[in-house]
Amino acid sequence: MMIAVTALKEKIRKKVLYIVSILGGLILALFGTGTGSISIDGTPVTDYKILAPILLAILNVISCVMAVVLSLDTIPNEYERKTSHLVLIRNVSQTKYHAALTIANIMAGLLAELILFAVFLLFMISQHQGGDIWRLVPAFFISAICVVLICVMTSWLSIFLPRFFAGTLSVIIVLAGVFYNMLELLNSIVGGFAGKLLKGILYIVPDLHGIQQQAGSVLTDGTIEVHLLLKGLLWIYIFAMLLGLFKRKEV
Amino acid sequence: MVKCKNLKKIYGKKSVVKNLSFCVNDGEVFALLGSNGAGKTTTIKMILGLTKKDGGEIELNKDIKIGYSPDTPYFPPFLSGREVLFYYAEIQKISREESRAEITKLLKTVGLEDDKTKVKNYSKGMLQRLAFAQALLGNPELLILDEPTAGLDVMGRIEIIDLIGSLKKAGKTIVLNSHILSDIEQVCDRGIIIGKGSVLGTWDKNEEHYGKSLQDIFIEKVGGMDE
Repeated sequence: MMIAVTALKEKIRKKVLYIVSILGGLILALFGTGTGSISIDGTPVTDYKILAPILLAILNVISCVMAVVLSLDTIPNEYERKTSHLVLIRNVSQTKYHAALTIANIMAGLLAELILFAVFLLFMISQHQGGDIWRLVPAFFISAICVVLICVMTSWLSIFLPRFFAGTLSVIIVLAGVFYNMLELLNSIVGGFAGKLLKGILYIVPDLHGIQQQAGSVLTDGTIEVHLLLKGLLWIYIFAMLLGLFKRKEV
Repeated sequence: MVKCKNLKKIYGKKSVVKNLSFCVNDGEVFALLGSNGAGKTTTIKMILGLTKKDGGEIELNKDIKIGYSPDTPYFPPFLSGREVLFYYAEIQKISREESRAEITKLLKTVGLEDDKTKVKNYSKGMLQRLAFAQALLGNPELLILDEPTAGLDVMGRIEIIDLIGSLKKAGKTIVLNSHILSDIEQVCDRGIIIGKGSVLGTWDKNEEHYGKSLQDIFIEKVGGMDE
């Protein structure tokens, strides 16, 4: 636990957490304030029930990208500056060490998400939805599934892949995950090799869009599809298992 | 205490350590001597279990506690020296009460009693001393010190050498990795000269070297290999 807490403290002291959160908050504020920032078929969207899920989806994309940024360096940095040596010689296994650092990544990712949710809270107040503020709590926890998933996945990739490749691959998976519904649509249209390729991608990419939709449903009284949340949790479990299985040959 | 027999390490196609054998006795300060890239740090990493050996044997009692001070120590910059030691004590599962007293004693031993200063404001010498202190946590039987005086100014080096001297008096077994010959001559009892991963020669403080200093022996062995 000490390793996780210290790694988190180090992250909190770094500017990247706040810069990215503030930038994300600004983007959210840009879309959420005033009327007509988002238009559908040329008509400005002003209805809260339409606008809220869209903003929440934007918040989710930013949160997931932030999760990648915050998780990418933690494990490689420990090995580069050889902090790992002083931990691993004290009978701490690589699995426990990586798990502790991943917990720090998750906490940092959730903290960043919390900052973004604070911006969303302001948006709700500006939309006179103060009575529904409590809905933000379950929405936060549902969105947190995506953040935790991406943190664990990026941490796992950063164990064995060079930083650039781990980061690029993580961002690609995030993008494929948030546009999962579009990939599904494309898969139903396209046949042949491309169709099979898309089908394969849909198997190995977590449905972040599906999870996010449930968070939106909480805000707008929609139906919640629990199986999509369970699938998200299953992905977290799979990546956590992979995190435990992969070790560095040279430390 | 430590017995290495025919140690081998290969990185890709390059043999970094080749059939390296040596033995470190209880209570002695043993030197691993060699130029940069000789294979000293790799040997240390194999002893510590940080890197897998590609051949040979390391005989080391699993129950003994090992303290390690790295060549370029890095500690979380926002922590004070005391907090850094608490961090490692916690990882080492030393109880709070036990560690509190031990840390105060260790900070005094290494001359870092001012525990309000954060690591980010430490000089290189202070960092090395803190690295020493964390290596001493839990009272280890074996200490492995990797280039403890590298990059230090004269005063910093004197402080570190004095510290090693006092640990030697306290009966610790120490493996010292260095390429600074004067430091070795001052504190070590025995040692081996490593070059390109092999043992090129041995040195013993109590043996007659026919008027040759350690420097003469080193140049003879390492220089001879380069020719």
